[in-house]
Amino acid sequence: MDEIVGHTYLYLKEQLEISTMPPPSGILHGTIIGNTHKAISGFLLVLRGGEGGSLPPKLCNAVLLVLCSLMRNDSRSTTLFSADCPFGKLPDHLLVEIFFRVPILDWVQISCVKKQWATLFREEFFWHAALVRSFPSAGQAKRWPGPIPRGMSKR
Amino acid sequence: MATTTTETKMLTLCTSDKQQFQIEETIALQAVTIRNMVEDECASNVIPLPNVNSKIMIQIIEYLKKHVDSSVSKEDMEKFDSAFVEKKLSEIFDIILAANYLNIKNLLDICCQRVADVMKNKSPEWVRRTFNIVNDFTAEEEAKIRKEHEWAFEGVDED
Repeated sequence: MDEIVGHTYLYLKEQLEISTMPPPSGILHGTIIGNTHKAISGFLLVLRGGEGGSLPPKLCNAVLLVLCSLMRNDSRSTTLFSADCPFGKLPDHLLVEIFFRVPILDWVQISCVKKQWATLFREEFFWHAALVRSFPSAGQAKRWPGPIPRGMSKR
Repeated sequence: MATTTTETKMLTLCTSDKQQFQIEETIALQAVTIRNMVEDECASNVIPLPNVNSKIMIQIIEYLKKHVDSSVSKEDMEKFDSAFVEKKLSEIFDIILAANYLNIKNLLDICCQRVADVMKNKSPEWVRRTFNIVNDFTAEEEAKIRKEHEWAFEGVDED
């Protein structure tokens, strides 16, 4: 979490330096490096400043993104900031699309790469989707349709 | 005698960096997202595609132009596809995102397959190094997983 806050701080600082806008007074430097709760309230302050039109929209987007990831508070959020990692850009369902296509015997290796990936392999939707991919008819049998009503069957 | 209009209908696509691309409607409609937009009549002349930049759009149009041509044989199409995905992986990732947004199933398939092929039979270290992924397992956690699945690490390609 601290790493995220650090990255965010650097990113915001960079964005502010690029833009011609003066930094909103004291918000960035004062609160973001503190603990997480302070950081979140700091982000909210920055956002409020943004609504008034005093901040560039790109910066507001960045802050929103950070807020979302902080709220989810899991290992996935770190991928948002490893900008050099192309996998970080992909949402879970696209990661899964790729993992399916790797031979099943390699799935253990993949799940050892990082925690987020290991979690994906444990989730039900992954296995359900994997099953449907190999056996398309399995996906249709969601529930028993019930008996054929009397008089509907043709002898 | 019925007359057919020979005039081809054009669509204008506007990418995230405000570049405009004029392409034939039949080509563009292969993307399900665009087809839905046109069918729902929520797009008049210019179709905005805020999730796709022009660099990626050029490549996607190249792909769609080839795939709209029904005279191309199956083998030639496969040859085109395998040549098409011979790009830098970072570009492939961008195309995956765009193909997902535009809903072009076959393009998504071949690009995901390309990434999967790279990861095939590779060690976790190799994958991390290649894709610049930070290892967030502790040494003990990783050792535990490896011990549980020792059999799976046999016969992995040398790094």
